[in-house]
Amino acid sequence: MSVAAGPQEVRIVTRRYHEFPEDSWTLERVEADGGYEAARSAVRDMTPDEVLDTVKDSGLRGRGGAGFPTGVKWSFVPKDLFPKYIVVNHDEGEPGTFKDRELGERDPHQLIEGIIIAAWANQANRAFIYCRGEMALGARRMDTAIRDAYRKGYLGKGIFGSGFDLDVTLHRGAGAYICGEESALLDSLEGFRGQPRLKPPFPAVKGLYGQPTIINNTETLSTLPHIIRHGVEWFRRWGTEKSPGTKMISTSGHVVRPANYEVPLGTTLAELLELAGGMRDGGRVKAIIPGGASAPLLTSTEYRLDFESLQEAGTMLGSGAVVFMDESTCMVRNALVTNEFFEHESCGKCTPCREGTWWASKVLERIEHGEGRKEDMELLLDIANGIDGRAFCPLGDAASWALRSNVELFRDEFEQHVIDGRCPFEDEHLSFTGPRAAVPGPGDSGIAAQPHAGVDADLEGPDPREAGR
Amino acid sequence: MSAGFAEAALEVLEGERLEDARRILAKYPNPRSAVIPLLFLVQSIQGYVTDEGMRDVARLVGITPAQVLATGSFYTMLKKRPQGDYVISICRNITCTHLGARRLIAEVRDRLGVELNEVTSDGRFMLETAECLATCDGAPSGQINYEDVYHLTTDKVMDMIEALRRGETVTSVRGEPIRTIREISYEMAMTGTGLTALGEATARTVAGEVLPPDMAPGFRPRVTGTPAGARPRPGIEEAAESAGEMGAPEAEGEQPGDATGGSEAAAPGNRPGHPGSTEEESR
Repeated sequence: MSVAAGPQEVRIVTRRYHEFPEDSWTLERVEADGGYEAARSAVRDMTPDEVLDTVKDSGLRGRGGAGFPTGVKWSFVPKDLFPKYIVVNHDEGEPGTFKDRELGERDPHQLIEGIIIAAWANQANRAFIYCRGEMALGARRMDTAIRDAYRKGYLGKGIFGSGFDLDVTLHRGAGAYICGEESALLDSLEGFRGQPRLKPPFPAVKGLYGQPTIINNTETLSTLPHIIRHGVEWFRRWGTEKSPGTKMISTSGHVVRPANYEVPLGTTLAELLELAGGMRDGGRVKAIIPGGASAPLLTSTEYRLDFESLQEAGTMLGSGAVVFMDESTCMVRNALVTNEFFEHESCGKCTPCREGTWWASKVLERIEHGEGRKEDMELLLDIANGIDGRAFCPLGDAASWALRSNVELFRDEFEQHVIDGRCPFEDEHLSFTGPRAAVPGPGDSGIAAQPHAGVDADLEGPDPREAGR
Repeated sequence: MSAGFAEAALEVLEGERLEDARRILAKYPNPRSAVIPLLFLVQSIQGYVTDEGMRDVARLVGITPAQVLATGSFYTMLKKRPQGDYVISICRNITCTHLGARRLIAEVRDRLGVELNEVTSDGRFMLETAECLATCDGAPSGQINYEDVYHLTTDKVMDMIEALRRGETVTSVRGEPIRTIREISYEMAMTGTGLTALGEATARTVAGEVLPPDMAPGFRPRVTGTPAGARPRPGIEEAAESAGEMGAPEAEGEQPGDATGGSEAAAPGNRPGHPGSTEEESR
């Protein structure tokens, strides 16, 4: 079925919208295509424990980034504590990732069907979809889909004519990457600043409103109907022993056809690159981000895209976002852009992440602008070490991994910047950042969170940091 | 909603918009969850999040204005200053930068003749940078009022701006018409409220869903090591035990804003039967 004949996609969660691009998000199409049959049979013909065991046996691992086995996560939920909640993490924002957006826009009913299955297995009567604020069309389509599902009796009281009730509420974020971290997401959904919580207790025990809560990624839930419908053996036909199934890989960068490709886990980066049409303009691969901005870089396409292989290679599959970079890419700039992202999205709760990312940006910026010092590379590694393992949540760790891998893998290039006193890649104009004041961060005009700016300053007018930098 | 005094004092969320606010509040078991959508509602009326709007949200939810600001100030889509009719957000993240986004941003800024995050002199457009918008397949990409636009060039962005300026319809890469920031903020605020209006979602939600007393607005759920010593430390095994005691809200005095006041809409589980439930419509 898969790889021997050359790289090909295996479309499971992406099948419907590739087959029916005109109307894959409508209930009519979905029903004609066999939609909701898996959810109906789960609720009518299976006990919650049977569903739970099926998901456990399938070996399905979370598609949001951590790769935690979904069935195991479910089994942490205390059975006799009510109410309990399902929360869908649709707050996609890991740089390079654009799969959940596509699933939400083009097949929202598949997600709802997955929610029903998860809710039944865990006997949760209410689910919240936390949809990223910037996803206007996705929210529109999910909103309609939920309403249509209610009208059909797939949601609401006594779904599918059973005695089981399920309500689904669509909630929208308002712009904050950290809300993809599950406990920060809960705080955000409760109406607070989206800052991570101390664990334990884990959300499975004390989550939303202090109640047991299962938080699953959109792609994870969208996979459930297929597992229920076709069975564990079928699902395990693809992927590896430890990473069964297929995975949407958001592929972007200097490739001919950037897009989502659904491939069996264990597909190599080389095969993925072939699917994406190869490097554009005949370029050669210089660096690869294999799993979103948080994942340390690779420099070769020999690696397999599954959880265990990439972990062995010192990086991770993460959210399944692969960015291919060709030889025109300045790796100092890459490090700077990546680090600026973490700096901006650091919630400010803990010092190593908040201050570390800020200082690293300053150092990277001076290197990129030809003002680097020869001790700066050590300084950057020192900052990375100061964050790694000392931050409150994985955002800080991720920032340190990305920074460290850029410096370690491309140290020559960093040093060349320092020795030459300029960026060897492009002229001054293209070296975009300039003095920091010229490029305020996203949302700085708003009341966006900025750990270095007081609320008063935000209320009064111009950001004082801009003068300082 | 509870309090008559609150409605009398409302400055922004009044009249029809108060009805909207109620529908938003009815979505959640805890009114505090409505803070963000209510701030979008304020933004839809006033164009941005104003001080008086935040005060209204505080009154409706039963928390202090400072708590509303604390939440609102965390999120980039809630603007504290005027943002014009159209916000152009261009991604500055990895894929987009490697495909030319930074130069694009600088050029659009120069052609518009404003700084980033500054509204044009006609009060209509604002350019900002954004972090990854999950649109890397169209890099360099961005959004105008949160509708995706792909494969951007300086000319393409300027053409769209000019078309919007002339009052023409401009569509996103997915064929959606670009709306004004007030329109899109309204949509953002009202997402998911169609159900409560139709009586489909029912307020009853979870069987017997009753909020624990420590979930009153303004309070965080108590987790392990409850400082007040009122409650045993629940582990997995003990959790079931403490569940019973979390069952019913304490009558009063949990917190200054009197949380229970806002809970008619918010803790719908308290309602005995729910009229107009889905059953008739759906079968």
